Amino acid sequence: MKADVVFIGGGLAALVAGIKLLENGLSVIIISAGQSALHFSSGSLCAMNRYNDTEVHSPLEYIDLLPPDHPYRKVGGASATCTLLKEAEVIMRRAGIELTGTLERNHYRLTPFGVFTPAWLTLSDHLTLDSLDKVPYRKAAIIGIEGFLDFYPDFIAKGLKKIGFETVKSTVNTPEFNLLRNNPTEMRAPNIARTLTEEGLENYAYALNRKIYDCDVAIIPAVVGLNDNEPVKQLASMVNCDLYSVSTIPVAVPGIRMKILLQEYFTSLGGWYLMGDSATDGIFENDYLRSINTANLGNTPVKADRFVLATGGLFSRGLKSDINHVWEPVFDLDVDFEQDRARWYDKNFYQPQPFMKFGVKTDEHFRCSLQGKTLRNLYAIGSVLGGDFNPLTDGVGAGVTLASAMYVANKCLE
Amino acid sequence: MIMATDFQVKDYNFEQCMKCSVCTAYCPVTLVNHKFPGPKQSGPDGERYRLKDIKYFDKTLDLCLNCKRCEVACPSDVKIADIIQVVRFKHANRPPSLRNRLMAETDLVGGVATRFHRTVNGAFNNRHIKNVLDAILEIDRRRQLPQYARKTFRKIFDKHYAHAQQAFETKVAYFYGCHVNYNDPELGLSLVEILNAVGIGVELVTEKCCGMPLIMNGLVDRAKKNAVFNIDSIRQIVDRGLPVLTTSSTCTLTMRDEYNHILGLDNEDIRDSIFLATRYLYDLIDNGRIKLVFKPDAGNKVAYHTSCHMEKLGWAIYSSKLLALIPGSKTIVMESSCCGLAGTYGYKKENYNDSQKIGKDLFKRITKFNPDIVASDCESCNRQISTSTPYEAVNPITIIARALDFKATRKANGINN
Repeated sequence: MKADVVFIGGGLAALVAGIKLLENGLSVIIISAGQSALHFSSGSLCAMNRYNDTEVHSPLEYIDLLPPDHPYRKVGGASATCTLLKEAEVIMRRAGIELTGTLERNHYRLTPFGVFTPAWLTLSDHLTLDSLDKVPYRKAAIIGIEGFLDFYPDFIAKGLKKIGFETVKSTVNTPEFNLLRNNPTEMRAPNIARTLTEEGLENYAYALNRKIYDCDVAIIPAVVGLNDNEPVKQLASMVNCDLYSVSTIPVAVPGIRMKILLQEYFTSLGGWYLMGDSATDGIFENDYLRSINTANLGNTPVKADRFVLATGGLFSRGLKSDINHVWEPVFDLDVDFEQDRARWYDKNFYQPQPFMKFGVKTDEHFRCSLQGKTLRNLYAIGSVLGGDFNPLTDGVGAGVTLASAMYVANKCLE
Repeated sequence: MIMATDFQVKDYNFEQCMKCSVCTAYCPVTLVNHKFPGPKQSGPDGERYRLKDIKYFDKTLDLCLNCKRCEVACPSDVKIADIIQVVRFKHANRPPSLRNRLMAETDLVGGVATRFHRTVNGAFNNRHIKNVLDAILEIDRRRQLPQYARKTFRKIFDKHYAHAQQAFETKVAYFYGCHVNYNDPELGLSLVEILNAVGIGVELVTEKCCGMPLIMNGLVDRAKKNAVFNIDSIRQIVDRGLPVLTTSSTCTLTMRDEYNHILGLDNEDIRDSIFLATRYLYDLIDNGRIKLVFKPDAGNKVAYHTSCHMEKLGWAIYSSKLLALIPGSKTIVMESSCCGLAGTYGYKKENYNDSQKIGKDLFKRITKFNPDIVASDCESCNRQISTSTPYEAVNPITIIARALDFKATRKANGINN
């Protein structure tokens, strides 16, 4: 088995980079051990939300101030990051993901807890605001679903009231939701979304319309449109006022939609997405990775000119840890982490946590190293990367993921 | 006597579940049947309660198809479907019904049915008899029932093919399975002819049903007996250095994984020698060891459907890449989802509607693509797709055999005559 480029890991980074390579005529295999962290994504992507203690409005203005080993500086600073991220955005749109936002200026999106936070791109069916000073609607109907515990109308109402909305809270019920409630623990966003087609969608629209009253906008949990945007558009056309979604607690429909659309586009271009398989080890010749083995392909090694590690961070099992160590489980690559465990974390949960910076060590071109020796054809992209950045507090997660992915894709095309 | 209580899941890692519910989002059953609590609740989540008190055992677990899509989707590698199957074995409190026994005993029924194939095939096509089967056994009258071959594959092979195999130096063994033996000997013969054309001889595994229908219908002790028999038989072949080829994704998954993971049998020494013929052929071609020469104009528009167990095996890449070798063919891998038949599940009267609802999206996608033919490595999917869409659905090996120029292939591989 052979491809020009093989990605280990199948989330946002691998899919977007893989699409770029396929569009340029290369052959690509993605190996994905289980569904990716995109299933936990709110549908918003951030380039940079915070620089030290300042809220960032224009991410590009701050990039050249970052430390030199920050991924944004490694790809070439502000102008290079801008080019790469805009290219990633175009690829996502080409895959059919409908997005709002621009890299020049962050917008605000509403979290499931009713807080407005900055974002670079957000799914276009979600509520976003350019500024918190000017409110485009007068009165919002916040409409939950009976028995659905991953959406909190109270929090949403509080957040909206803070910036000057009037609000009315309510919940709706339909015959489809009644059936779902047979298993209250499975009343989760994707399961709800799977019932919202055809008649289920009409019933939902009917129920929503009865709770709109004199409101000029309706806000619902993001439970519509698992596979694409079509059901969202159908619902919007049936509801008697403007309609927006707010992301729920994961497992989240917006992220699954993004993943499905990207994967469909990737596959339609001739890419191979090996779902449920995992890389087990590699065959090296000095500093060259000749082939890898996977759990499912067994004695058929997968060969490639270049390999890209996109396995995600601790959450996605791209990194593993025990009481004293953090390691990379496929090749045992060099990993940056604090030796003294006491310094892995801050006891104050809300402070930036140092372990968020742990990850695979890479050179200036995102090439990995094994026992201090840089590998010629193995790159790392996305959340598995270590470095002086905190995706959570800085709000750079998606930006770093996509910038490193596009940079490495360009390297593979050289 | 094997006690059902002996069963234990290998990699019993239910505590790794972080309750994300990604599995449930990909479960074909929860989509259509709200009585099924879904894989997370039935598997790892319910396990915590059941360990405390078995009163939390719930017969809705019988609604699980064992399609394994939950395990493929799980970000934490929890053996969700294995947990569900084993707990079903352990706590099943009713003996399986006559219908489930009949459906599970593929060897017994197949043996009798091929002997009386005219009568059985006639009866299975007879509206009145189907109504009776529906009323008494609750086998849904809307299903097209399987048709049985005049002679079993094994008999045809022994009579017409076995002798010629002695001429080959390189040999493989073939685990043909019940479907090939009783319903579709043509598929088995196609494989033998393809292998012979590239200079490989075939011997048949002395075999019993792989056991999946027995597992799914609650005859787990019978399944274990078959498994012990098959492991022993395959071990003798593997010890002689031969690989064991198959043409059914379900038999393959059962013998490679289920024997060990849920029946608790040691198959480690033989596991990696059992694989689908499509994988074997693709690897030989990829390594330049054999050549297939196809007829000109044999190319077709093929929709490759990844069966649930093929998805779990992760081998769709072999079958579809093999099909793509046919010059002028256009093979598209359909987005993978369950066809709904799931072996014996869809034949049962209580499941017919759910079964067709599960497959609906797949049928739509296939119809939209409008292929010349559909290919799948699962006989059950092929039956469901053939009867639920306007297209013929067959095993990839059948398509390869139809497209192959046998004479030219023999010549290209240095085989005389």
